[in-house]
Amino acid sequence: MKITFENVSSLEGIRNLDLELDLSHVTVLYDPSEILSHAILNAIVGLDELWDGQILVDGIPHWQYLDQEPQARSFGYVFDEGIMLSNLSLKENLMLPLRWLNPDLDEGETQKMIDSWMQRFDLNLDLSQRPVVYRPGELKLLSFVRTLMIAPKVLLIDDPYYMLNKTERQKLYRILCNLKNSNPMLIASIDDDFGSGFADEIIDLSGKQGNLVSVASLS
Amino acid sequence: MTKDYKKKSVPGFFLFFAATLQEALHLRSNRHVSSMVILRQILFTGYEALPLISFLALAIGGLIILQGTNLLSNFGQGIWVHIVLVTVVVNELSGILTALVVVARSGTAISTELGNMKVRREIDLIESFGISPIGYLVVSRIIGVVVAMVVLVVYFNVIAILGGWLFSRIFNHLEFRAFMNDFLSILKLSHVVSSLIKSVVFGIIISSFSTYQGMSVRHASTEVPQRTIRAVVTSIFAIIVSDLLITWLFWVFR
Repeated sequence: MKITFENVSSLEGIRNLDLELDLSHVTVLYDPSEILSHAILNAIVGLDELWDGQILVDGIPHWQYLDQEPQARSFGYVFDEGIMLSNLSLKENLMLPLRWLNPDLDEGETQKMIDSWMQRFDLNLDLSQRPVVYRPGELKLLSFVRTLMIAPKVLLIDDPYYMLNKTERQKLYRILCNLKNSNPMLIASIDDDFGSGFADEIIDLSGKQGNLVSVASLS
Repeated sequence: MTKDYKKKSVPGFFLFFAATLQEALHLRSNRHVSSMVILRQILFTGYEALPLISFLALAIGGLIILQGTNLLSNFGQGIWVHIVLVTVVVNELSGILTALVVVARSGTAISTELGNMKVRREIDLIESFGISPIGYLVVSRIIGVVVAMVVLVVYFNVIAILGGWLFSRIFNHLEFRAFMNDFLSILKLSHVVSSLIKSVVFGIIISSFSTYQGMSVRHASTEVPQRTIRAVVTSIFAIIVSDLLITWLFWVFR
């Protein structure tokens, strides 16, 4: 998948950005300010309000592409804060996008899938509880589970290490390394782990707002 | 169009309402509308408000009978107290008082909940799945509040009438059958229809103003109480204006 930003300006701080993202592998947006990379991810999933320019997905206008197939199937977005809906239980949170994509979901199959991902992330949580009961780090890892269960075409990850302790960071890094070959990813991060050794491509956004400094292909 | 409601203004409300209407009109095929959210809203707005509504209705029904009997007996017209009960309770008070209770309980709760969801970026999360927040959060809540409002108004009327009879029984030793005969001889279909129409309109007003104000919160948690206050004030104002309008229309076309 190719995403092209053509002279895009937006509410969240993108200014006249021209950028081409090849999302067939792992791309890291390096942006110490975190504002621009965050705004780029938001713009891709339609959360940012575009003032000018357009975003193309494989040559098709972004909104038209998202009309063609369910958004969650195309882009699985993991927010930096690992957001959960506070009025739903953890299980209802995990099921929400799945049910939306497939209303005739088989309960048994889904439970197996949840158990398998929970095991992979080494999470031992009571899923009948509301999110408020658990630590932000645990919820962040659970938000990875929720997104991966949908099996999106591209995984968008905003600041993967945010809110995680050292052990959780190591765990997440291992899991993402395992997923790297099968899941294209676009990661907004300033961490060295993702900046070197992990990414196939690094896009340096550390210059002025909206100005691209360099694109380095590491593959 | 669903995104244009984010503009804060009077046209913003109408764009929001139009987007809501558009999603509501395709209810059957609209997977964004959640039956779970509707049921939870009915439970909170309707079922959990029953004790307060019961107390209020019983007291109002009884008070009207007491005051009415006192006043009308002076002119030897005590028997006509049922007219007062129909006119005041069924036509006016049941709708208005229930609406005020729903504004105080559910309007504030909806506005605060959605405002906090906005601040915690939960609405962004829903949008990132491709689920329409208008369909999932707004339409579902509007349906829930309207259904609960209709049920509560009918319930208010029944309890107020029973309260009226209870006080008539205590002070005037009036039998239930005699009381109901007098009451039903005065009650017309138009009274019931007007009461039901008002409950639907008030339900739409409360839920749409509250959801709009909640969804209009941008980023700061300090906006949440401000928006909630605005939801309460605009809802009460709109309820009174629409009540006057509906009553006037029924009076013109009676």
